[in-house]
Amino acid sequence: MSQYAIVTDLDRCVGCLACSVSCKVINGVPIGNFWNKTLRVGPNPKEGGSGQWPDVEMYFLNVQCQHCEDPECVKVCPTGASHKLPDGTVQVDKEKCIGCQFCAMSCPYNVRYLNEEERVVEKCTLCEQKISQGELPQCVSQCCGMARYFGDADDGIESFRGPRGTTLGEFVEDFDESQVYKLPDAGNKPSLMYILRDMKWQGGDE
Amino acid sequence: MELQWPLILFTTFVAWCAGLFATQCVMAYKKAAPKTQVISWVTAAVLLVIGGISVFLHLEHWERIFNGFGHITSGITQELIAIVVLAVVAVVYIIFLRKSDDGGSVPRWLAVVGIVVSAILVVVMAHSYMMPARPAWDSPFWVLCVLGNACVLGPATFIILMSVKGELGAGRKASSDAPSNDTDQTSEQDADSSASASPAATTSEAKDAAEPAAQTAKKGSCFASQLMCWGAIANAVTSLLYVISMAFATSSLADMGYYFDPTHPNHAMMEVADFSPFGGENLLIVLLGVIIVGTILPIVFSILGKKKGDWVKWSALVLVCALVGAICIRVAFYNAGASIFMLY
Repeated sequence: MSQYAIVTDLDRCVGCLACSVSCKVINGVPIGNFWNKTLRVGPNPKEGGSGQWPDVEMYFLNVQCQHCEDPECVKVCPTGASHKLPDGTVQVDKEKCIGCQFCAMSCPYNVRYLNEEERVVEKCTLCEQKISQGELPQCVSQCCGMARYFGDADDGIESFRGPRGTTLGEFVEDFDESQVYKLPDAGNKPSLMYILRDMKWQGGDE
Repeated sequence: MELQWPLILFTTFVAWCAGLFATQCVMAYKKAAPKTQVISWVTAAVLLVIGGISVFLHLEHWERIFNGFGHITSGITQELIAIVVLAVVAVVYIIFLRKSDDGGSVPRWLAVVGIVVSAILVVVMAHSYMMPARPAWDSPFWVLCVLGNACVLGPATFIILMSVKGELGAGRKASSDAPSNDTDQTSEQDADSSASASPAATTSEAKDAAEPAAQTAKKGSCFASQLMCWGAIANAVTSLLYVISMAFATSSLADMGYYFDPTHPNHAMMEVADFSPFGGENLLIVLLGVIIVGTILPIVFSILGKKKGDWVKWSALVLVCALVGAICIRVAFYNAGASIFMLY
């Protein structure tokens, strides 16, 4: 059993939205839906600072399905349409989906969308069509800031591969475990990780 | 999150149905109001059907429920199982009703089973919304709140149905004709006087014959009114507890400080206070709809009904107010139902 995931070095992310845009292009995400969203967090006052510029900090946070280890969306699905694959990714079998949207309600991150044309729920697949052939998810391969890395969390994040074929361990600046964060956990154990070194992680940490 | 009207109606109608069926089971257990049993059963069935239609309107591909429906950890699957169990018990119930000598009695064990199954349905239905991702929903008080709704909706409806079948009206009419009747007396006192006030009291035989009917009317009206009063109180307590738990739940929401969401460039930043039952759109809904109309007025009208005895009018008012309250608390439920990562 693997647990595929993405690690984003937020200190490298420039907020270009290439990940969000490329996701829409490669996956044909309908207008109004976003399988991959980039949030600008801040500018927030630095702790101990004057509260005014330049004592502020800001980073960009990429939010998508967190491919949780214990996904609530899978538990609440009445038909088994939402399911977890052996590679650790959470997928939706559209032919089984009845469109009850309980999965969307149970997701802490609101990253599931109703496709109003097909009337089924969709979300980030971690580009299953690409990773099953050994390629990188589109949001990783298109990251011009070299901030995003993909791999199997069970092998350690140092081995995650980035856009130019380098690994996270080889390319990014040093960090320690206390600088690796996850989105707020409601018991679902999110798999995606974020590296943030010198700024305050907002929204509670993991 | 956005209001899900099909689910709001579904949970309201199912709570109403379960409350009514449980009430008729309680009355059957007490051997009261036998003539109202069948009409109550039919009304509960209609309510369940309306709830079922409502929930189907929520499904985008309802036809697929026959294709793999049954993932047991899903609240929807559990709801379906509970509804099927209730339907089976209800069918057994109507068979026993039709076979009974008076056409309105069932064995006490069956009445107890009906009460238990009705309560289980409400608990299972409410529990399916308890999601850790949404702190305002993830509260046992929500389950109690829906049970409280059922406790007031059921008896109020049953009293109206009793009047339709003449079981309530007979007792009141007789008592109002009684020379010793006092409008300030409780219904129990009224019913006590009803036997002696019967028009047939001129002969001792007729009086003897009138005794059972008067006793039945007494049992029915007194017990149903007590059920409604206690149901209104239970509804008020559980609704208020849930509103308080919603207020505390906002502390679990992740505050990101200042932020900008490019997918919603025109939207104001989300504030934790927006998801409080006493903030934003919820304030009026909770204060007026839930607390005043949904909890206080049903208690007041129940007491007035008990004092004045005009059960149809006061029960109808209790029913309308409790329905408005039940719908308002569900609206507040959705308005306050932000996920822990509340930004989207």
